[in-house]
Amino acid sequence: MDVSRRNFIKAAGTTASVMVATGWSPLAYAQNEKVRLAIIGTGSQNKFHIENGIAGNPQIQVTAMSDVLRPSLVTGLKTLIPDATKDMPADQAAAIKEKQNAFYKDHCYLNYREMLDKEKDNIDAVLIATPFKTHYDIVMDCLDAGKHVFCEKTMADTYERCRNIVTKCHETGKFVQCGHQRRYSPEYIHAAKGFMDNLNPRLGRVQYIEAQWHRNGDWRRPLPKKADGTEYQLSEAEQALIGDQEAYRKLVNWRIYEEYSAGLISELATHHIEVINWMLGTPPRRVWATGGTDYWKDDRDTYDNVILVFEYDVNSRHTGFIPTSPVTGIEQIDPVKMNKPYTVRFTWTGTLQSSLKGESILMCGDKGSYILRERLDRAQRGCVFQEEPKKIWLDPETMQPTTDEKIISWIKSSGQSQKYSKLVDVDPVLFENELDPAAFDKISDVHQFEAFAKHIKEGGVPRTNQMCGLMASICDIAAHEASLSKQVVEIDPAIYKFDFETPDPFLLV
Amino acid sequence: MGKLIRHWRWDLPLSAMAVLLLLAVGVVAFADDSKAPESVVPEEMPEGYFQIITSHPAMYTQFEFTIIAEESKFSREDMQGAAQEAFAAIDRLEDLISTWRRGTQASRINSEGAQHSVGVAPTVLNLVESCVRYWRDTDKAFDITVGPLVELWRTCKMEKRLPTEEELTAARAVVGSDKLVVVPDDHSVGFATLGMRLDFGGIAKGWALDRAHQVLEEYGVSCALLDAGTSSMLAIGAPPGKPGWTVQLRHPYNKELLEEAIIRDEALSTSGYALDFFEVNGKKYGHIIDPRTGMPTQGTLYAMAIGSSGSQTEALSKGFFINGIDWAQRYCEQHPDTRGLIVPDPGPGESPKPVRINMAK
Repeated sequence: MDVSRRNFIKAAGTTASVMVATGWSPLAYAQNEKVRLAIIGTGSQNKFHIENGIAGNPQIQVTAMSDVLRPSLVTGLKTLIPDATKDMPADQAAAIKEKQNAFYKDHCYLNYREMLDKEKDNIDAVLIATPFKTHYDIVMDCLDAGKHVFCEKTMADTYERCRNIVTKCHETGKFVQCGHQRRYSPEYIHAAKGFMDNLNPRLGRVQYIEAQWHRNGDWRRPLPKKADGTEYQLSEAEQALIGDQEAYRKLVNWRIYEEYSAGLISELATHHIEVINWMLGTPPRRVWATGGTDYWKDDRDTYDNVILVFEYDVNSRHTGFIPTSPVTGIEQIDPVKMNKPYTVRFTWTGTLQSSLKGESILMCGDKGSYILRERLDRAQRGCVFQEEPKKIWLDPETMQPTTDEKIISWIKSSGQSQKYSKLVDVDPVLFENELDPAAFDKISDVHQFEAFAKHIKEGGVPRTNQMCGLMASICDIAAHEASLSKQVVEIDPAIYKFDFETPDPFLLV
Repeated sequence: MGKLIRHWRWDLPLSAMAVLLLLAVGVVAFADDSKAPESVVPEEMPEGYFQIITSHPAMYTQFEFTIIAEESKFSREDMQGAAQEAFAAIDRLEDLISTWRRGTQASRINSEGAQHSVGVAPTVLNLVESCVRYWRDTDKAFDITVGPLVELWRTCKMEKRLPTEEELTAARAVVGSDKLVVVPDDHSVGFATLGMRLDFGGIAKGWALDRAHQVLEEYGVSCALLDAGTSSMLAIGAPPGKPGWTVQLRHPYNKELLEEAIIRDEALSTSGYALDFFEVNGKKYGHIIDPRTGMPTQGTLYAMAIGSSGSQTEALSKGFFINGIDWAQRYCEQHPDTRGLIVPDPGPGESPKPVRINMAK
């Protein structure tokens, strides 16, 4: 696996081979021409994208928006074109209002299908951040309309649907980029490069990985209300898309209802699973899971705590422990044992009743361990801890640490190493100090939309392409099945095989 | 309600002008370390109303919201939920405009802005454009690019000396909102020259209150006092049966009540010198720099401004402070929705006397 893996990475460097893989060749974009982007779903995630990855990207222009809920559509619009401040001169305030009204009237839709139809010549690509189980229909419609797609994770909710998306991409020559933004995070890429290095001295063999996302809260959003305390009443047009008021209440809190989501697994675990798939260069073979709704006893029907255990069969890159003969002192190398594939186990836990551990990934190697986090406190986002303490040498006269080679060689030759040395804990190495500041300072959302625009304009497929999305989705679906049945679910590798060439899900850059 | 004590910190990384509050206000017992204006909220709610007080740390201060609602229309959970959404919006804003954290859009402008423009969120573009407007409105007294001058004076203070003519010239060359390169169509902001910095510390909390106001309105809140902890407040509506929210401003030296301002759908901000001036050759220097001269502002001890938005009053309180009484009076005449109070520096031995502008008494 090792060798093919490294070839994969090499192939990624040559755009030509990737273009063949998707059948996609770029339109003739002028250098300064912007990618015209339509947004479907203007909830909190897409507002985050507008403010971080999109509005400030000189290659992207938002040309249309849709959301089944009018209040959400309006706040989405106001994220793109913010309200005037209350003290703004009347003429300027009126100009902003007019701009908002014009965009709303001409380019905002409740029904995305109407948008795809009316704006078909006004959009090149679509950004989708709607509830998980609504992704499939929208992605397929957008691909059918001939648009590139950025779809928030998790890509789709059944094995068949995931495969249909990959096939549709092949047929249309368009790609689906999934919102696994950690793949664009400089810290994660740095970690992955180190991890994929065959003889990575920092980690050695990684055999166990744990990750978790712990929160303390009901994971609900309050329902918007009017000043008289009444809740928003759906219009007829909204009812046609959403249903009754009860359906609306569920939609606002879609993450906790099976109708829309697989809860913690599809919304949180998927981010980490995808990173582990990428780093190990293979999807897991099986998953066991458990969970329940034990704390938040409201009307939710997704679990408020889950434990997932994945097993990855990995070919030997690191030898693991080799016994030494007590008689000869020589390592007893057994080629059969050494080349045997080994299993990497990855546990993931998620809960909504305790937040101490927060969100992080811990990759445990026999030489050292990575900790990866996703938060704005940049200095602590990625680091490596050494397993072994470091030996330092002491000057025999002062008993202070010394790096003087002469003194050290004297100590070694004097046979007094024990007396004139000591072991000290090594501080973790922060990835921040090893990265290019300019790339590091951009948050991953900026990087992922730069990639999105670049691949639309110049061709090729993004790192988090439809195969990456498929692989993560399949793990989520299997984990969800396992959590419901409390049984081990085997994942047949045939599910990733297609009779046409598919993009590489493990692209590093 | 409980007594609110706020600790002022000298080393506020967000504070562009090292603006300090002198106006110390208390409702219940007054504590010496409490320097921020305090609100008077009705302790007893009228029949049928309830009140929640909730706070959240952000922007190196403590935001505190007092929300009053009718029992028949809202639950406490409704109002707590609304406040949480507003606090989350403030956090998202801080993630964009903090200049002491790496990776924010404002930090990226500071580190890369002279080489190339940096793409920003529409709200950040709006903020920058508003700041440029306030810069013009205050005759260039309020300036988000004043950082290099503040930095120079901070160094001089530590070294107990005045800046040299060369140092002042060099710093002034990289200060001025006219040197910001703003391209609205690209949502981008950059610098015309190397060495510039921008800092939203003098306006961020007011901008955050305006943002919180918008969010709270989406959740039906129509009566609240939003307190940004150190220098700004924003009133939504008025407590039941009252003309507005009462904010007490107390004299910092003798704790005498200076003013009871009543605000309704308005914001209030203060700027001022605290007690630690630094002295060189017998002359006292404060911390609020006039970006036009590069020198600390003389002649004013503190200023308070009331206006229609938190960002406006934050900028205006600095404008009042730096430009002085005559300017403030002229401004308020031309802008009838603004008013304020200035306490000029009376000189040694004299007691400071506040000058009210457009205020009721």
